[in-house]
Amino acid sequence: MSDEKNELLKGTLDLLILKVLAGGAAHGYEVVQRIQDASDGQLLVEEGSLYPALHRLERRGWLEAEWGLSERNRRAKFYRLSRAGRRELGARTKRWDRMSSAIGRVLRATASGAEGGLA
Amino acid sequence: VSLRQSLSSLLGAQESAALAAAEAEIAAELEHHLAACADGLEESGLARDEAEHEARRRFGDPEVVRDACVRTRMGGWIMTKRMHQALTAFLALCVLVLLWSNYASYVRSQVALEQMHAELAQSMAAIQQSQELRAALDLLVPEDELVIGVGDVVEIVFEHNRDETTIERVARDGMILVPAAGWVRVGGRSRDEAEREVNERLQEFYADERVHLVVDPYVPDDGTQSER
Repeated sequence: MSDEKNELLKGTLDLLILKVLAGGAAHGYEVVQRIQDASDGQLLVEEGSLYPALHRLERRGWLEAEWGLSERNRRAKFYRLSRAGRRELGARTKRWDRMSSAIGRVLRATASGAEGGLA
Repeated sequence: VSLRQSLSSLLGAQESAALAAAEAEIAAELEHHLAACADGLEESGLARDEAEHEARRRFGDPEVVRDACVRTRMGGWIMTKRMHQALTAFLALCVLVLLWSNYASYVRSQVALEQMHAELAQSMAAIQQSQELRAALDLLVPEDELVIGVGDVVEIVFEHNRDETTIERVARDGMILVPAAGWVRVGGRSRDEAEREVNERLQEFYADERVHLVVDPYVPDDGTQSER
């Protein structure tokens, strides 16, 4: 089951991070929680992938980061979406919509064909 | 092999400090993640120790994650550094090739120069030889201007009676002994004059005979011609 979740995340982790940070600044653990909460626990983000992704997005200028205090008064690194990151999120969201829509059409057409074949 | 060890050959003091700072910052970030995760597990009912243990179990090896983050963060710098090293090596190679090429060219020019020197020396020797020869030739006097002197060797060549041909050395009194004609004075005369005199004397004995004189001037041991 977990393999299926990971497979689902491949190539989409950056998009998910940008999306959850559009709702406000968060530290790494919060990012994981937001993704899991938003997906009703269906998407499992591995920390081994999350942090390199956060640093990669920061390096590209799509995220900005600063150290602050968490709700538990611990020093944490907070990430927020930059202006460039917001544009990137918009572009990637559109691309994802087109892609998922196209894949959905293929799957539906295949399913119809299979049913037609059976009939 | 840690990331730091694998990069040690690339790092200077400044870069080492930057790498250490990046590692420390990432380690702090990951520590916070583990603590926050343990907080969440604790809230769900686990004891603190169990929560921390579970958080670490879920996270995996923090060093692997940390190294992946460092690579991501310093990837551009590492690439730049490697390109810089490659470029430096390439330029060093170019300089070496250039130096070698110049050295080879220098060696070739030296060889050519030595050849030119050798040829020049040969030419100089030839010129010297030719000058000496010219000087020797200058000492020679044309045969028609030659004045026969004491010690000169005179070959008396008979046109018809070849057997009579003889060689005589001019005596101290300038005389030579001519077959049939006897003593004839040739000293102090040119070759033509001496030849005329000898032929006139021979007419008394051989009406149809005629001789030619070939004069070989006397040359002392020091190579100079004798005073006449």
